[in-house]
Amino acid sequence: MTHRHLLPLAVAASLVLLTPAAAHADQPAPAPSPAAQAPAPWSWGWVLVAATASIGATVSLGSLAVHCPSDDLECARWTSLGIWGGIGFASMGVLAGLLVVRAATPPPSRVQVSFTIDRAQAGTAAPRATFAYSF
Amino acid sequence: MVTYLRAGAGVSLINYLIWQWDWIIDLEHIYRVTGRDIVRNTANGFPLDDDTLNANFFGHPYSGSMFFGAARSTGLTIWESAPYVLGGSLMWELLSESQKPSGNDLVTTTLGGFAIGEITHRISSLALDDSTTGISRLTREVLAFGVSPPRGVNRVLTTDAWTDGAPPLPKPARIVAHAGLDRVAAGTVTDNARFGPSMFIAVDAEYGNLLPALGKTTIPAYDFFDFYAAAVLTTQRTSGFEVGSVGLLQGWSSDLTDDDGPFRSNNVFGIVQSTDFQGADALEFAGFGLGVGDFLVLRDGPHKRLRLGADAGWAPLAAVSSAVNPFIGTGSARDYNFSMGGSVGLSLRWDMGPVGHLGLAARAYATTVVNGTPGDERFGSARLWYEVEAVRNLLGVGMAPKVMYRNGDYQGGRSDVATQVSLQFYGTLRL
Repeated sequence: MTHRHLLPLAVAASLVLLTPAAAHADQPAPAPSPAAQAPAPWSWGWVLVAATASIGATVSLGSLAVHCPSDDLECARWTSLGIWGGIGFASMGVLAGLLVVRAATPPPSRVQVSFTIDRAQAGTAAPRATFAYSF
Repeated sequence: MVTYLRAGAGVSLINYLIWQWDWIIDLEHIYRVTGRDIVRNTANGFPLDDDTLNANFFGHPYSGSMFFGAARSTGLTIWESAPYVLGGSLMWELLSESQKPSGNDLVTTTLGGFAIGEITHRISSLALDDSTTGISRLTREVLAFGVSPPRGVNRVLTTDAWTDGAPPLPKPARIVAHAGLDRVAAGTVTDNARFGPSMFIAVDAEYGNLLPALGKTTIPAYDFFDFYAAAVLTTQRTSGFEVGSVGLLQGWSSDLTDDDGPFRSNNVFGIVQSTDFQGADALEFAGFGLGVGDFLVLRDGPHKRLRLGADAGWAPLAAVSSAVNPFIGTGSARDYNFSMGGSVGLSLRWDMGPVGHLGLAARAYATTVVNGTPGDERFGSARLWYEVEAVRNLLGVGMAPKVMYRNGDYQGGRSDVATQVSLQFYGTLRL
């Protein structure tokens, strides 16, 4: 082994030691789970979320409290509409509000680092180290 | 936080839309639910229901896949999305139905929804390419919408459907559409039935190549699966759907050859999930499986490969029914029993270059009835197919014989035996 072979190995070893373990992947690391990303900043979307969730919950809970005689099918029909109408209203409102929040949130910055040592070189060629980053 | 809430709101919205549709078309036994019904639903546990095989083993898994898709398409991982399927099913069972909540719906919605939801999500990913524009982009978005509707809706709501982005990472997959004729003959020891040729369309997908990512030895959940779905179009009783899948929940790979290239041979042992709904035959059955499996892949270049697979596991819920074995006089409210037991599956895919592609998908169940007419049931199917391409990587033809059987021994000495043989001829379109 000559100094031509030792130099890339030394550089590669330095990179391994100086970069975090997660960066030693052969391919870009998967995107972090959205839950792991930074919390969303304040947005008017949250007001929409809170308002529609409150109204929907009130309508649903109020309808749940309605007591229908067992033979009154019309009462049951409209009571059920109240229960599920509240759920539907809240769902749509929360979804719309969260989309507003999402639109106001800057996309997460992503830096991906990969480092590879390829020892499968034919002949006398030295191992090849590749260091790459993308953002 | 935002993503989790969005996923929850999406699942609730799907339930609401289904309920609202039932309300509009006056499906009163479902929609007419009051506070008293909900309290009773919560207090009475989860008995098994008497709905049809189609509703319980096809409809509920499909709605579960919608729940899963609503969560997954917000950006959650596969495992983060899974609880939303159970949550959506619980919400529907407890809040939306004036009839008692059913335990079998919880099982079929959750297990089937998880599998079919992830499979449709992955297949829709194959269609999407955010770097394209114009007709190509529109076609891709419409295709993805058709495969996974919740994802399509989410992409429209978030404007991802028309926002420029990076091209997708290429993923090895073989997706083939089929269209052709299906001829069925069925019989029992006392009766026989023949059905005329029916039109059918189908899609056969093999996703992933069972090779782990570079430098790894494990394969994550649903990075590999086989999926087959067919719709049989006929006025005969054999109209309906077939859906079958085998997916890897976690795999451990070991190389069998010294080279480390993409054409090395390897063996993958793993945890396997299967779904099975055979609803377009004279003999119908359905089941879910969870167990272990092993896949051996021998490769010889880019166009020649032999893949052999076998799995065995627990079948938490299964059912079988057949037109030639009516449940008359058994006292059963259904034409099938709910049963539980084990299943064994076999699979083969042999790419022989220009000679063609040979495949086999077989699964056998041995179960004990847990609800219905007490007894033991054994049933299964085996579908063999051979396809050859006339235009490389585009058009071809295929044929597929299929055998199905059921054999049940029940209380009182009753015995049900039925067999079915069918043959498909079809054209293939590589997607």
